[in-house]
Amino acid sequence: MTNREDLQAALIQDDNINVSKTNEGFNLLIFLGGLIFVVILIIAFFGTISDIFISNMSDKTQMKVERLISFNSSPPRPDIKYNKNIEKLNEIKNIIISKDKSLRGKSNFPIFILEDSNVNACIFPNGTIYITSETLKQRYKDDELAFILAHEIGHYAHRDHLRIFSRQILIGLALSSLGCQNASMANILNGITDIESLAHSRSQEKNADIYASNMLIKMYGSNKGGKDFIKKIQEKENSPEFLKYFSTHPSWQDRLKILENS
Amino acid sequence: MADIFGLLVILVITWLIGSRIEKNHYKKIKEREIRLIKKPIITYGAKRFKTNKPIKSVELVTGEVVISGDYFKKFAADIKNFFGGRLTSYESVMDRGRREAILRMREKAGNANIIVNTKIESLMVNNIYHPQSVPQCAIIAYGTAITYDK
Repeated sequence: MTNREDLQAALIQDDNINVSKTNEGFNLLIFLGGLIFVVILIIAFFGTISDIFISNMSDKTQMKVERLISFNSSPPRPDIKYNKNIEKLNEIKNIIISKDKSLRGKSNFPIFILEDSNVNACIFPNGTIYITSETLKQRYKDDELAFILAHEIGHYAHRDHLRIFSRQILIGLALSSLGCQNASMANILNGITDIESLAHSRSQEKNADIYASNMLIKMYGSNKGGKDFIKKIQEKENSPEFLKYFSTHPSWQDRLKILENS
Repeated sequence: MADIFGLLVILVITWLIGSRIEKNHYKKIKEREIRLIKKPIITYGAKRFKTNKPIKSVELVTGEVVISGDYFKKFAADIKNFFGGRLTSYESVMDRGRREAILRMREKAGNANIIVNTKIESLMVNNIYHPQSVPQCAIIAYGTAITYDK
């Protein structure tokens, strides 16, 4: 080869001016970090607006919204075999309502039993409480049942359902404009909002536990019932601690700590 | 939640495989460019070609390539698109596509002495109505190959 050809061959092997010498992985991390920061700011802003809005909502409006979003939830037909259990639960529930002035004039918190093999309970936005048949089969003590009921009523007292709806609407609307840019953005936004909603849910569960703990102290002088209930569940469920980050509830260990500290 | 982990796994896999493919492609491109460095010579935009040498043949030569970025590149470009700036992840794709098309054209020219009036054109061939599809680009290089009579 001539000298000119040697030079050309060397040029081919050398740096390519048309391609930037950037680390794409590192670049992506930086831009993802920026995007996550923007999304967190949006979530924090609209989450705060939502919280202020729900906290300042009048009881009358609350009842209207609850009826509106619960009109389709028809409770199951009560089974006669659970009558005694329901009677006992209603007694406990009435004591809870009498201890919290903010609940007066709102829902009657009707209790229904769901046939299910897991220990669980939930409350609908209109205050209807569902308890699984397995919870009754475990023959929990009165203070333990009071903890379960107070926890669910705590969600109602804190307007947790309304907060979730309000946040989802506001944050969803705000982020949809970003998400519609392209599919990759939508994937990232979904991931961030999923993680954020799990964290928000865990925080609501924590507050419901604190509410239930305070209620037990008012009713029985201590929150022993709550601790006993959690210890019993903890013995049966031994899931790894890290899974709490992917759960809507704090880990049983964390919930026990919450009760011990409150 | 599972979506984000699935996405991360896909990103890592496509990044690793895509980088490997790109590295191998560049290696081959460079080898071929060095091999073809002697001839044929390419001219761009010279519509009138003058020579005193006797011409044996004149023919149209083309080199075509359809090239696609991997999912990682598309994802990186999509995210960067939000903030603006150079979409560097596609630069290497376009560069590979252009060089590959030119190389194919030169290889097709065979023993031609010169390729005049070379043009390079590109078009998107992916479904533009399907936003999740990875961009695919067709690049065509064409010119007039002239062979001198010896």
